[in-house]
Amino acid sequence: MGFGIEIKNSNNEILIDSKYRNMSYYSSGYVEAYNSDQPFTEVGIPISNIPTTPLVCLRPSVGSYCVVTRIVSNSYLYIRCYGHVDYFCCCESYKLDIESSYGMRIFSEDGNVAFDSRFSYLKIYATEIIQLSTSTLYMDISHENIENPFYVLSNPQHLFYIQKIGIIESWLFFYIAGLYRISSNTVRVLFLLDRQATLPPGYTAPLTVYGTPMTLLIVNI
Amino acid sequence: MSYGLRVRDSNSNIILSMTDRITRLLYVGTAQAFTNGQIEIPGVSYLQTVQFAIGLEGQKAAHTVWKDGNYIKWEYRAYSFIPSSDSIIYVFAYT
Repeated sequence: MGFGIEIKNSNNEILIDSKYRNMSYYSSGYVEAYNSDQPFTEVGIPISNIPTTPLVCLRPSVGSYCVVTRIVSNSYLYIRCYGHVDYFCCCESYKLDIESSYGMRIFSEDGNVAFDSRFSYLKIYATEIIQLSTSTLYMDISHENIENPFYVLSNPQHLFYIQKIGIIESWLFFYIAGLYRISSNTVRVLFLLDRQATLPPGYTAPLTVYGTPMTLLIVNI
Repeated sequence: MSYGLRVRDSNSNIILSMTDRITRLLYVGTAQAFTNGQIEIPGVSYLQTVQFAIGLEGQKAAHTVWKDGNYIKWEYRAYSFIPSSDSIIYVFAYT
């Protein structure tokens, strides 16, 4: 470190330095849907007013489900959900512009704001690597010392199968990995139906799970 | 508080304490569907990091991301019925 500031916590881990940027809280809210038929209702989380495509952290209530389906930059992040899901959005701190006359602001080498005492910062409490398979269709993750955190599930795995229904129809069922909240400190990663469609008759395909291991971030602000 | 830095906002809420672990963003960028890529981040091999991709398109597969020395690399995924998606790549350090 040739210049600047470096602040460590009591475990000697770097909290702030003048080299890298931080992610800050930007907005929050909740969505609700109570149609229990799968695929669950798709609802949009507005992200149009955020300077960059944000990282969106989700917290389904106990007994609720959610799965991220798609992101339309500068518009909405869409999830399928059943129940109540809290969320918060965070983005790079230097993109924020809030007038203030007090506090501490630290700039990085490139002249952008690395830390600003006006913002709340994303904190990662734990990361879990999860791989589902045809023999492990869900996995429960407990975080005993972390109550009611938010989650980010990246690189979600997919599951699909094609089933012959009756004499002339085949149906494709397409699932994506999502979250089901069991308790304040346990969440289940499982497959939730994202779409189903008819195919020409005669098609069949066994239940197949695709994808590399997923990362579950356990976070808060 | 025995030592260290504690930061409060204007309402006296503590936004940063000496036992917190906040993330530092080492890299964020977009990876195009059906393309692989990498970026060198000097010194990243010595940091505790988490790197991942968030897919931008529905019913498509996001990239796989991993750390290899001082490089962060990503590779697209595509399967039957599941094409590759554009992704946002994030690399965080949290120590």
